[in-house]
Amino acid sequence: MIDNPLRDVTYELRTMSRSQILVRLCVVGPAVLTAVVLAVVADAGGAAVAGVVLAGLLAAALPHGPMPLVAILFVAGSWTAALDAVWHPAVLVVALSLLVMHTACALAATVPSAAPLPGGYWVLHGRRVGVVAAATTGLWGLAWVISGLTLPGGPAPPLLALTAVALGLAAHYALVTRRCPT
Amino acid sequence: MSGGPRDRWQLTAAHLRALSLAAVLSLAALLLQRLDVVVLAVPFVAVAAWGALTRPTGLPSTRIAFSRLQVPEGRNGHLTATVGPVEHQDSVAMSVSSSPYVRLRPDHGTRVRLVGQDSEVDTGVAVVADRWGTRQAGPALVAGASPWGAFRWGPVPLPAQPFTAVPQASRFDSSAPAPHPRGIVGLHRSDRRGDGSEFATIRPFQWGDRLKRIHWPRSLRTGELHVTTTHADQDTHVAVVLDAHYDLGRSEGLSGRPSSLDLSVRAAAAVAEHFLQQGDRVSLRVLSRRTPTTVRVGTGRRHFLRILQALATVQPGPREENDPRRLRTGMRAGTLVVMVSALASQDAVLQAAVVSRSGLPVVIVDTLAEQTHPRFDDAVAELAWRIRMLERDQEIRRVQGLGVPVVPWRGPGSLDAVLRQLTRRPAGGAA
Repeated sequence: MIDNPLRDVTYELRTMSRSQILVRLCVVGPAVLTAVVLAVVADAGGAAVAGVVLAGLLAAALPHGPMPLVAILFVAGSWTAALDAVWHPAVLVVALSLLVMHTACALAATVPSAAPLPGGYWVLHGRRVGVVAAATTGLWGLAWVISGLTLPGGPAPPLLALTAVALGLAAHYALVTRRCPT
Repeated sequence: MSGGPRDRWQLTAAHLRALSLAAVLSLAALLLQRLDVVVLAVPFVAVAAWGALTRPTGLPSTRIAFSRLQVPEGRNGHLTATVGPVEHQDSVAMSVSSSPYVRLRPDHGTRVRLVGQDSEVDTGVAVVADRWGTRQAGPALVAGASPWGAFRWGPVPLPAQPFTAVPQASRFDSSAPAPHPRGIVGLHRSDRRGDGSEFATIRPFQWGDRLKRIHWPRSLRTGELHVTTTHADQDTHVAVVLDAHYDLGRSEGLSGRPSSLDLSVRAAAAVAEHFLQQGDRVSLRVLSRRTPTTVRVGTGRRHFLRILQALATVQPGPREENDPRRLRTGMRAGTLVVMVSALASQDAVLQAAVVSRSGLPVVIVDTLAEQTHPRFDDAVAELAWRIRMLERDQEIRRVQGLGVPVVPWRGPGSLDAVLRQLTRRPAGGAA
């Protein structure tokens, strides 16, 4: 028997529990908010705004596969392309929206779509998102301060940062590939 | 229970996404020298790091159990998967497959539970048996997730749990006595006089009569002692014979249209329950090639449960070579034979006729109701069905001509008129 992925998706969407619908709305809502920010702050074109909303809808419908990655990349790319300046304070809204989108897609993919979610589930993930959002806001404030300064150093700081990112990725790879007791 | 290819913690698309976005956005920020892109990358760096640092290290133990071996039709048991604790495991999801005549609550049989760090978690789904018979709960799949959905364990399959759904007895009540009871104690009025509650006659006093039976008005009037006599109260043996040769119509479960065997089984349960509650002795004989069950005569609540268990295992199977003499085995004089049948098989009619000829009172309960008639798309099949129905009518008239009443099953009071008629007939039958 050949699986029909489209049928699976439509079945999943038809049988979603209320809490799962709420999770999916947490994917679409931030996408719409980002589209509004793009339109107001960055003066993005209609195509970009519509694209962001569409990307959010597709990510909400297909949270299991690569679609959320494509959607978030599209949103981040639209922001980067639409804004000429190096810094804008409204980036915090976009960053937090992307965080919520990512988290909601991860939750939607983790649990069966028809399952009602326990109340504690929302509290747990809300708390976690709050912690990451607080860290992001702190860094956003730091970046705002830095954006007003002119730092010397030429290409050395970016190269150092690049090395730090590479080391971080290597450390992470070592973590996720370590053997698990079976 | 473990060992499948999915019984390990695997990286998820969500974690790969966080990782990719952290890397791509960080690189973009560096290459484009944009501080705002750094802010966009921060949440993903944090989520990726959090997810990686809280990777579960052990594998959870699993077991599955069903709460009851027997579930009454229409009631529910609980299928529970127990998952052992593992550090950093966030949640457990359970999904139960549906199976015929089984409903799941919540709908679609899925449930999610948060996991504590040091205690087992039970994830349960209610399983409602929608039809009597041997049913199964499951199989089920369980899966676990780590924080941020970074790692996933499973889904691990857990085996189905078989259980027996015992039939729900239809509503049935009868105010008519059983004909010709021959037992010792019971509620039915006996043919002979004795200790009982129903008045029989007034007769002259004899030595041995109880003084409290003296009828003083009559004694004073006649000047001679008279006593009241009563009919003895006796129990009877009710032999329930279930014709399970064929199952006509399509069963839609307890809340939908019944098949003929559904009606028969529930009617048999109702008749057995009614007579057992009256203190009578009840036996059961199932006429089926696949499940030729016999439950010996007995009384009481436990015996009723035995009968329900036997009825739950009934499967239709035509058998045309039943020996009617075997059906008579164990039925002594005075036994009331209640045959519950859709009368689709000639064998059932023949058996009823033979038993009736041997002198036992036989009642056939016809369970081929209008709602159990099969529906045909094929005109030839429809015609064949109508011809068979005409033959069946003829067979019913013939058996009625032999003195075997055939009554349609209508729940309460179905047998009243027939039992009263049988009571008025003289008793017969060899011991």
